[in-house]
Amino acid sequence: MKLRVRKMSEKEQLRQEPMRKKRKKGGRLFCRIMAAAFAGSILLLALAGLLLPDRDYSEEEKRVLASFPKASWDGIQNKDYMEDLEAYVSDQFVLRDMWIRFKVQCDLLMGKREFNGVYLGKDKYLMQIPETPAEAEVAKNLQAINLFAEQNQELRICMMIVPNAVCVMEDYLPKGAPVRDQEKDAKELKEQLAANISYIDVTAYMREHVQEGLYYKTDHHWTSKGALRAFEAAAEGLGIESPLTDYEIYTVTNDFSGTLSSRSGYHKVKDSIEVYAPKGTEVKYLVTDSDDIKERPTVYDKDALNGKDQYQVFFGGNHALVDIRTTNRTNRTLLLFKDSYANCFVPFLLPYYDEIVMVDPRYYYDNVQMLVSNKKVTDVLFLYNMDTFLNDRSIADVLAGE
Amino acid sequence: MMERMREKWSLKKWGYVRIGLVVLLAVFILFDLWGGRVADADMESVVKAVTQAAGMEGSQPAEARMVKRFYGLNPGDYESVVLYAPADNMDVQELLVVKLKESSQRAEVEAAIQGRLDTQLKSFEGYGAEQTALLEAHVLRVKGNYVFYIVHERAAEAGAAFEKSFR
Amino acid sequence: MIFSSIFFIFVFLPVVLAIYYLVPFRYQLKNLVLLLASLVFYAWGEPIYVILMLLGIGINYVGGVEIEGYLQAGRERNAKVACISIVAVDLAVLGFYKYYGFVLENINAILPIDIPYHELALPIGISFYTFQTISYIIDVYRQKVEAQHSVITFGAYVCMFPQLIAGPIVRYSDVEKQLSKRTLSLEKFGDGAMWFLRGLGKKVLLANTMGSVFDSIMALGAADTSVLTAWIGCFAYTMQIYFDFGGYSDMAVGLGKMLGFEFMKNFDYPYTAKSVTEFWRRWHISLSSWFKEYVYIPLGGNRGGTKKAVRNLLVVWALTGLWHGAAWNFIFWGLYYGIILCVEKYILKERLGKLPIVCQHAYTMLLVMLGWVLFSAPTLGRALAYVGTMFGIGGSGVADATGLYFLGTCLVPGIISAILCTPLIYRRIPRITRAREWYKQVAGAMIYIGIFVVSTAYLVNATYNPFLYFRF
Repeated sequence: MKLRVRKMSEKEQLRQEPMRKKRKKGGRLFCRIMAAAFAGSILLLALAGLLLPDRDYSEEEKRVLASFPKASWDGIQNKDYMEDLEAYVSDQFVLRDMWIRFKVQCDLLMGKREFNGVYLGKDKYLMQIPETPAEAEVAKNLQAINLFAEQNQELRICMMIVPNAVCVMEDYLPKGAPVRDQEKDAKELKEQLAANISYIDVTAYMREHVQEGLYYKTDHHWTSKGALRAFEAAAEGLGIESPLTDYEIYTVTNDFSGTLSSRSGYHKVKDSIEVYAPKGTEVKYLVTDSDDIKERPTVYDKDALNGKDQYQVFFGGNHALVDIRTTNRTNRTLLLFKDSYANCFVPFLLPYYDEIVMVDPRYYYDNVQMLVSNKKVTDVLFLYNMDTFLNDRSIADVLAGE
Repeated sequence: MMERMREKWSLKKWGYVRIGLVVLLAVFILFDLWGGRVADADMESVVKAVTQAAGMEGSQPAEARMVKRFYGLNPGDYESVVLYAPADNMDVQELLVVKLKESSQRAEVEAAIQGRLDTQLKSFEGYGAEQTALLEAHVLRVKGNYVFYIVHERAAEAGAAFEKSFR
Repeated sequence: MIFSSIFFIFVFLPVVLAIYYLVPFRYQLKNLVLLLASLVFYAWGEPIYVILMLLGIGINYVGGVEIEGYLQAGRERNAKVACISIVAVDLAVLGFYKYYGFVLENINAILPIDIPYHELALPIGISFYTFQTISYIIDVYRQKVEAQHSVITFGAYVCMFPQLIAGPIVRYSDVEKQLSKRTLSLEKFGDGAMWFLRGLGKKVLLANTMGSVFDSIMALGAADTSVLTAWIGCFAYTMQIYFDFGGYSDMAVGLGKMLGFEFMKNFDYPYTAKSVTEFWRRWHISLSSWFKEYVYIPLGGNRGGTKKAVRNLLVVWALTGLWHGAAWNFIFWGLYYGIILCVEKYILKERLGKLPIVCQHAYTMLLVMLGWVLFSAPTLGRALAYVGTMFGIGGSGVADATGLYFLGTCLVPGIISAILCTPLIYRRIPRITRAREWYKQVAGAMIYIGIFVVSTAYLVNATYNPFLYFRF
């Protein structure tokens, strides 16, 4: 019995032995080519990296690239130096942009539709995935807003939280891609608001017009068209009777590549930025902001079109305070608490107010109540996109006015 | 006989070397264990050292309420807090030194700093490339009951100065 | 430093290899280069704890020489004392750094006291190199190997960078001869490059991809997870951990070959096992054989009756679990396997082998996958909740759109991963790389270079590149 078992195993060994040997090593030519190709490609890329000049800035990533770090004892001790050096080598790697595009291409081939917090949807739409809300902050902000409303009963207070692309353009998402239900978020916000704040929900109306391109394909903002449709839906709620309907449309750029392109590494499309000028109004206005007190007759910043972020063409970016005084005589002054979504929305409001005061709570540190009385504010609007509103950490502080 | 003697002696010698190494090891571990608790330094000299290293002696520290605005921290809860705020909304350079009342406060302060950093990163994403680079090169250090955070062109130097101010 | 980084591949590796190949074997110069390179490699990630490792090397080096001296002088008792005390020191350092926080946390939780402590960072690789030095000391004491009299060579053995931070746990007896005499050749270098690229591809292309799927699924709330999603998540983690660790081992083998070493294989198609016992003969072989050799057998192994053998198995598996990390879920995970192995050994016996092969595979994979849930979850409660979701308790139905989305995103990499878990492809590789026709050999090399190019693209864009086994 024992003998037989042994025989079997010997036989098995015989069968397996040559195969195992074979598996262990490749052929001579194969190994030589492997050696040469491996060593060669490493040396080639490493040397090319040494010889080519360093880049300071990456257009595609919209990011300052790491430069060669200075060695210091302290830096070595706490690993900062090593991390900086690794970042430097990686950032200055030969043809970095090409490698990144190639990687995204491979991901697409493998069926991946999510890149660094961005979904690639239908029609090459990039859509930012909203973050998980900072619940405690939201509660604090809502409490402060309600308190503000209570203390200012005479004002018309509205809140318009614009849903993000993932919500309005639901049908464009990769099938079944998990996202936060922003409709539910909106409903919950509405329920928590004080009675004298009216919540303006533009989701349904925007969905009807979803094919018109309400959001940029490459950026997390909405387009002027999106803002226009939202304005149409909101006008009544804002107390604007018979809003203008005719606009002159100017395309100011055709090669806008926004934040989502940089974040995802997907650069297959460009956007155009449009500017809407209402027809049939004579309104003129002067704009000042907290970063530039020189009065100017426009809300647009042409220089931004040559800059890194062309969306800044609206107001030249975010400012703590923007003041727009118009030639209207409507006896209405609007105080607007806003994020960057408002920047392309405000142009649509110009014909209907004497003065519009835009406050960005992230940067505004002065007393709001003073502002209300000094500017004789009649209307207040909180205008945010859902993602930033649910993650905001500054509204409560601004309204508390400490 | 001689051979054996030598062997015996050399084994003894190796034994001493080993014991010496074990003692060194014990010292190292003790040092590592107690290293987190540093002698008290006073706030003034720490702040002076870091502002000097960052070359911002000229600027004025911000009001206490700004600590609340930026970090959501109540300065009264801590031994002392010093903040140098950004000059305007396109500036990100800031410096925060917190002296804790007790070490259990460390986590909340670090979380607050992380929150502030995330907020800043988010508001500059996409258009403030230089600002983003500075934010990413921030230095956050904890030493004893001090928490130190800086976003500055010379953040690394300030970080080293912070470490040094305890020696 | 990790292997799968631009810095390692394009800066550290070429510099080290160039110097290594240029210096002669004479006067242990190659070992010296290897030692220094390894110290830089280690200090890169642990600029302070490199001192700890150096002290460890010193103590074990002296200890080995001492034990051998005592044995030659016939002083058994002294040798035994030295052996035990050195192993004790090794274990004390390992235990201290790994379990200090864990122990105090539990003491504080159980007893009505509050001992203040500040978390110590776990020195990278300490679990691996400590096990190597322990095996060395014990083998010297057992006279299985001679003590190493050159501190350079001994140092090079302990902290050799290919296996320093994630194994395999190379036993001194396996590389004793290679340390003093090994050959370098173009063919061996090429073979090493092949192994390295194979591992790199596994890690960067498969493990990271599956890992990102797993992370996205874990980020969903339990209420949004359907049975389908939960299984995809579990599958993704199962693949991630194998290709992560297996890829790292392959890279280590490849780097070893480039330096002239032959390491034993650490994985042998573990997911093709037909029983859990067999799985553990194929998974992380260097660790399980270490525990068998230095814990299980000295405890008495399976001699001395079933009761004792079961006790020994459970002790070994609790320790194996604990080795993986200082947390209760690792201990439970270890005991989970201990119990399964006991059941297979004493209750199921040969009965398992009589089932259809498919059932045997299904049985094994099911238990292994459930094991990974236990392994990956932060707490036991979370693990049980997740297992519940997998079987339809507390989730959102059997399948939903989200589940289909994840099925879509991980279909291609998932199928590739599943195929590469089996010897199916690997068995065919030699037919190309060792073919008579030259063009087939060239084509084989091109495939690996292709893997290299794609992996490099992923490394350049390394927003997502965590190493799972860094915790250990």
